[in-house]
Amino acid sequence: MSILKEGKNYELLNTCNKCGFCVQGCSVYKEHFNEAYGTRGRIRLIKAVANGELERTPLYEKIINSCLMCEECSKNCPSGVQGHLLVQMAREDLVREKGLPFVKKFPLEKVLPNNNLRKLSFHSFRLGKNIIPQTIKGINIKSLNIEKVDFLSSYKPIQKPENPNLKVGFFVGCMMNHTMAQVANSIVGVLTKEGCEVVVPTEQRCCGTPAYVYGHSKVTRESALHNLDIFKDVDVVVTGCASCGNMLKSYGKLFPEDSKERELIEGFSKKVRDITQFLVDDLKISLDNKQSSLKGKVTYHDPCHLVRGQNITEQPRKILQGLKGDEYVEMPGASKCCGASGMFQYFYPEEATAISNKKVENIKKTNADYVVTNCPACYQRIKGSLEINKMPQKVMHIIELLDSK
Amino acid sequence: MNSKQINYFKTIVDPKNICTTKEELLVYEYDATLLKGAPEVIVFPETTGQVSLILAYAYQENIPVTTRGAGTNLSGGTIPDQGGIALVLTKMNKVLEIDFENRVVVVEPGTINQELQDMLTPHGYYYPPDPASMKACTIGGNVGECSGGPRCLKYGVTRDYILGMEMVLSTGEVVAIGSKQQVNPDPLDIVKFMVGSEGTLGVFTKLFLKIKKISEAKKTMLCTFNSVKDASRTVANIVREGIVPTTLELMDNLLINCAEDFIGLGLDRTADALLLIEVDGLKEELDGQVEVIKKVCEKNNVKGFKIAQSAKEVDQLWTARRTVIGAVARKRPSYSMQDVTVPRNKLPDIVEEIVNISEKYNLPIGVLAHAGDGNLHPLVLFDERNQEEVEKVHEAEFLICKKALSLGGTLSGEHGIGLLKKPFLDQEFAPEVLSLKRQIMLAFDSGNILNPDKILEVGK
Repeated sequence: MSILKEGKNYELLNTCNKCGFCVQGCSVYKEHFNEAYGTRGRIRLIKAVANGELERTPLYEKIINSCLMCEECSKNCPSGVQGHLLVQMAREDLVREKGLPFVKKFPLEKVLPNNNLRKLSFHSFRLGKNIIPQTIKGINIKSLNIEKVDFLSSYKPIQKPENPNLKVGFFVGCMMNHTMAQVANSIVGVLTKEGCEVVVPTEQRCCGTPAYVYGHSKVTRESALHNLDIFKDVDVVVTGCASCGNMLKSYGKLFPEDSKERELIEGFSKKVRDITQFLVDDLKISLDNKQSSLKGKVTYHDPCHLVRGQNITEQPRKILQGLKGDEYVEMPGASKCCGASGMFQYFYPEEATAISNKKVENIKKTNADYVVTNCPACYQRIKGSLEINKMPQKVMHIIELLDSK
Repeated sequence: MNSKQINYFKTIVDPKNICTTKEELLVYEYDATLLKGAPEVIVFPETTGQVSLILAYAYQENIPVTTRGAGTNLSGGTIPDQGGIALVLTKMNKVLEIDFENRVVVVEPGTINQELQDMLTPHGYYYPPDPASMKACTIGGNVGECSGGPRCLKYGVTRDYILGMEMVLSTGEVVAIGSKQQVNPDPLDIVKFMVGSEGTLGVFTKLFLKIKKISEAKKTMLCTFNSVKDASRTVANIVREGIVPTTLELMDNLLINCAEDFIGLGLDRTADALLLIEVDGLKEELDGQVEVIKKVCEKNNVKGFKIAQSAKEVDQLWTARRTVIGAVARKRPSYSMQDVTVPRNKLPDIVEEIVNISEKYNLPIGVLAHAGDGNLHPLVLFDERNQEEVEKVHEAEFLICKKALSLGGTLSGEHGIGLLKKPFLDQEFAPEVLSLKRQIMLAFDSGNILNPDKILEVGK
């Protein structure tokens, strides 16, 4: 039996009342203006597959896979239908019934969960990117920095402070590890300066977001158990990646209710903090005399997996508004998706480019000098799109503003 | 329809704007009601010229055409139950002109209501009709249904804001009616016919809308009561005092709890009824109005009276109100909503009847009302997969409609008739009136191809 027909799942599919409010925030719908690409339509089709009215056709797959998983529909739904979870469920069903194509299967199953293969592939990509065109499918390949030596491979433990207040495990995440080693170092530096003992387990593994969103949560479950074990000795797990944080915090749903694993993994999830959340809510850092490392106008982009995934909006703004020396301006549509959404940008370049261009337009309206965000994927996408549009703004990870050397 | 006919449309619009796949037909078979009926082809025109060619051909070939915007409607009006073409105008969504001097905007029909508001707000203007679905629904759909909204007590419904339009007749001819003038001397005002015609008279391609300056100040009040009766009496008394609030919204206990589950504002879950009252105008006149309203509330045994203190609080109250219908779905898998209207002093009578009906059929029924103009949205909760329950819902709704009519009310305040309320129409209108309506429809659409047999069976 298809998982779509399973008791609780099927009930969830039947909670949609088709009011249509979900399309209001759906960036993909607004590129098509066709019901099939809005949440209400997607849910109708998933239900049709569950009821046996519709086969899992290539068009159905396209409709199901062309969702950003930005969670706007889930936030807008007055009935509380979690559209993104239903789409994830449909992808899970597709993986089980039809399998994944090689272009997804290989990286999701083999490369990302395997630290050596992952290093090798990023390394090859770094070498290869000089001989390929500037942009592929609207993705600015040239602007993508890939570290010669990734953060985890080069990490040397720094001296812990005397009488540390907390033992913090740093979860760096694949993107930050391979493309923003400097930012990762800053996170360790800032946390240490704030009196934490920071440990960086080098055997930590991909959080599992890519596998999860493409319906291959079996892989994510393995990552979850591995990371649970690796971080068992710390008080808090901090990350500077919105997607990793979102995944680590919601591992529980991957395991059966009342199972031993579920209990353990939920205990782990409770320890997870986004870096801004940790600094503002837990450490309550004082910003009174803190100087920003930037001068000029600064604006902020909310990553989907932070603003909606984790309800974190105020903490980063508190930091940005509190720091001295720069000027914070809010951008219109700050919480709209930037268009990256993992592999979405590669598989749906037309939609992704249009969505990114809207973000660029909104950035333009602020006259900001810097765009700050809190997620390596958004960081790279926005940086690439700004460059393609010949815009002068620099993109920064929020921790870089706090790390005045 | 045959493939020759479908292929012909590919010569009119870009083939990417023609959909015939099963997947796409499935998602155009519904609206926000429980009714269904799939089109045979979905066409997304991008220009008036294309709409004209499509209709001319449909007329010649006698193909039904169901015009549709965002499909958030609540009457089955956009369901292509006779097959044919779903003519979806969501890609004609440009705001063509904003003219603050003359307070007119010109939009294409697919423009989303909220997106227009967002363009006007920075300039201190707004477009008053504000249906609950305003963030998703289109202006074309609003005009087709003559949408109201919470603000319409003071500011009127869509009909009061439409100055004119460009539209395509069923034969494909393009006509312009009305104008950008605020005063329309037309003795047989066709514009007024078009508003609320539910896609049966023509297809709008451009709409001229009136806009208004945002009032200097507003005050939002939240009042709770121990009985619906007290709340409804308050409504009638406030209007009698000569105050016309922009909004006088009523929610009953079931809805208060649903809203609270979704937004969590700290509403009084034990209250039997809640009134959301908003007044606007010049700063200095508002305090006096609030004082009068407070006195009226007290006279009617108000339980809690609160004035929203911050813009954020006002926003949250409005979000609670606008989303409460969907939030109800948390209680049961399905809901059905009526749109009856009664004279405002008859509110307690209809509410009492609804409570009786709810008990008789053992169905939870929530009451949401634009109480200021006596427009009620009784929400019946059930499970559409339970056929027996569905039958009960139909009976209960029939009784609610009957009661409204017997109190001197009407079947529809703002959602239109569509398919949903068609069976009740002869309860409200005399045969002669229905015959007149039929003749008007045939005068516009002699082939009966435009949203055929919605509102009324027209015949040919």
